[in-house]
Amino acid sequence: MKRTAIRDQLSAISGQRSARNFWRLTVLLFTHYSLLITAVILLPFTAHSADDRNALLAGMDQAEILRLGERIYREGILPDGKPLPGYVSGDVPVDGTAFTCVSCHLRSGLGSFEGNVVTPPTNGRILYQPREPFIKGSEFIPYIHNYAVYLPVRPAYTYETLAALISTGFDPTGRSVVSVMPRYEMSARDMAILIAYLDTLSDKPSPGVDKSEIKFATVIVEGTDPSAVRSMLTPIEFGIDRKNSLAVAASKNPRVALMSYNMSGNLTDIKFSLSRWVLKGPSTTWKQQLENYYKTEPVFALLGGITNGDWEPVHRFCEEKGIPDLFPIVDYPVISQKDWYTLYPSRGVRQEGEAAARYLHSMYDLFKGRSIVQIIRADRRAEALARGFRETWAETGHPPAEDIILAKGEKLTAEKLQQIVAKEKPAALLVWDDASLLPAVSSLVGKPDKPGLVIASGTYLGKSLWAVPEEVREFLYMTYPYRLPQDDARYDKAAKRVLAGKPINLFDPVIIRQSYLTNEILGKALLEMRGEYYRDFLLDTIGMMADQYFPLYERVSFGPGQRYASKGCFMVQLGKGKSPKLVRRSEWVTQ
Amino acid sequence: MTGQARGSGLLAMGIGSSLLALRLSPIAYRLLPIFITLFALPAAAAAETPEKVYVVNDYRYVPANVSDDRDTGLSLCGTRCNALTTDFLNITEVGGWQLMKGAVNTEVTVELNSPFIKGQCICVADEYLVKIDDRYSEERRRPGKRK
Ligand code: HEC
Repeated sequence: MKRTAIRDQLSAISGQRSARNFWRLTVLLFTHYSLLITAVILLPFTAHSADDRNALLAGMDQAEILRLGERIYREGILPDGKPLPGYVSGDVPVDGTAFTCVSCHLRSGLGSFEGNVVTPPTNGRILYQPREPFIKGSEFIPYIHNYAVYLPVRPAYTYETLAALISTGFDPTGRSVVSVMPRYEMSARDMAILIAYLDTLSDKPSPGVDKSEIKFATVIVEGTDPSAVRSMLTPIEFGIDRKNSLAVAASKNPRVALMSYNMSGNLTDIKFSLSRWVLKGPSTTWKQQLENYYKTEPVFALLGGITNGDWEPVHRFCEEKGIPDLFPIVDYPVISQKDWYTLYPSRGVRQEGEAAARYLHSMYDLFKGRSIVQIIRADRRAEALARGFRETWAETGHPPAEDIILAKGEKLTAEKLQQIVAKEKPAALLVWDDASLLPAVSSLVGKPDKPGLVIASGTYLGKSLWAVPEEVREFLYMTYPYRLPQDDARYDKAAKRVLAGKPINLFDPVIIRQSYLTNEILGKALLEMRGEYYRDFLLDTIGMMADQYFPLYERVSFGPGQRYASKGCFMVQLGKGKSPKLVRRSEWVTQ
Repeated sequence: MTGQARGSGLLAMGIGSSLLALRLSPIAYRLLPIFITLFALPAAAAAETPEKVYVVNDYRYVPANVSDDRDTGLSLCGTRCNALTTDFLNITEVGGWQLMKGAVNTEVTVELNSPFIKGQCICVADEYLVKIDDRYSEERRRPGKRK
């Protein structure tokens, strides 16, 4: 699709996939240099020996060693705070903080393979074993098998040969890797610290996993609407039941086993379980409740989860314990650039406010100094919408919008809205409120100071979105963070399948579709994990996935460290007539 | 990494229907319109008219007045025409639908529809017809429901 020219116009945002593209470019760049390899002059390399290693690390606390090692691995920063110097072919210096180990070998250290670009694991457990021409037990699984095809066999590393690979770029067979990976210069002590860290990467089995079972749990905040809870649980339980019946069928029938073996490696034999962790009482007590659940039942990961309010304590708990949580259903996710363990379906309610800001940004010049006003109902949803708008708007550098917050419990009346409009004469008005905004906005029709456009939240209006009065449709724009209903209908059949025959009207239509995502992504990820069920690798694997198309969101995308799967939102208007359709006024505006 | 395991959603065997998505080779795309005109039209006319979608390649702004700000108009036409464009994967990935290429670089004129500036946008787009891909539809495959 040649949409580049158009994409450029949406000036604000790009780069969702930049991390991965950067990575690919890097590899290409190195490959380009590869002809020069022969010209590389071997630097005299410091002998790193295992005996020295103990002496070098003597007196250092193990936790401190790992903290420093992690910093070298993830940030390219040496223990003394200086950047790690790296060199590519021809001894061209590169910045080790840009060419971090983690950017290629991923957080789990288990590497990746995409097409024919293979980054091998760099964790001790695998490095200290010889590399065979195939991964044992997976000889017949094409996409796992390929992994080995692209890399030659090598003997097991020792501490010395590993240090040599990192500092000179030569592997134990004498083959140079500098065409695809920099070599790094560091002191013998820093090398010992880095290797000590590599030794711990994806080393001990993740909790909740053994040869016969992977344990999952889902967190349910008490007081959440039962139909919402059911909608979250049903698709996930469906997936788990299907998976387990496959495991049973495979154990009884060797032909099924063979078939599914080809498909999913050793996963066939493994059963899944899903526990429900119900959180009660004030959110300040949740941490302790979670600790207790976890102590009696350590799980590999959390699947879904649901609340109609707070989620932060669960998010924090997952960060602290290193437990992945795939797609909890929450309106107010924790927004963070660096947190790792919780993957959210989207940025929640605030994403609509953000989209509104980007949309208005595109026409700001036409406002000719007239203001933008946000009217905000005094509740959490409206405040999240307003915050999303405010923060994104601030990034555009335009003067801030005028915020008018209604009193607690106050509803916007026609009279109040007219006063505001007469006083502020805004070019654009954002009203973050539910359907009660409609009569007030209707009253602006024909008024001299009527703003050019009024923006409201499609999800906050809920079903009333279909009841926008005809005379308002022409100037009321709504944020709509899903695929339009007429288009999503194509996916209905898929969405219904996870309900295993139960009537769809028993469920919340949005939540079953969000939960569908959990089910699909987990399935795809586990298949690609080639038997390495490590928590960080689960998230690494999802981070390497291409864009996906499922019910509900126009598309979901992933990338290393990206934590909000759906990044877009439409601006829509309600069309004319008795049974109107939503009409797009923007593309899937992404962050 | 992904792509190779497509459609085999382990937990969701039978859910990941992306297997059904039909990808046409460029040649097939070129041949299909002819094919449709020759054989499919009478039948299609009887059934529902297939939905038309666009993939926009370029756009222009036609101001209504000389005083209209051309740069902003053009930029808004970018948004406007983009709103018209379809990410076709989100049609074909679900399975059961296919796209048939119609006119190439056809010009679709839409009102800019902005409260602040008048004029029209000309979206230069490739046109596709969305068709239910009958060969793969569930009804056809379900035994006992043969038509
Ligand atoms: C630009 C991407 C990139 C970066 C950055 C990178 N590596 Fe590598 N690394 C690779 C690739 C690709 C290979 C496979 C090379 C080959 O065998 O041809 C590799 C190989 C290795 C190997 C040998 C694995 C084996 O089985 O032989 C080790 C160990 C290793 N890297 C460790 C590291 C460490 C430690 C860092 C950071 C200090 C690092 N790498 C940074 C891409 C990278």
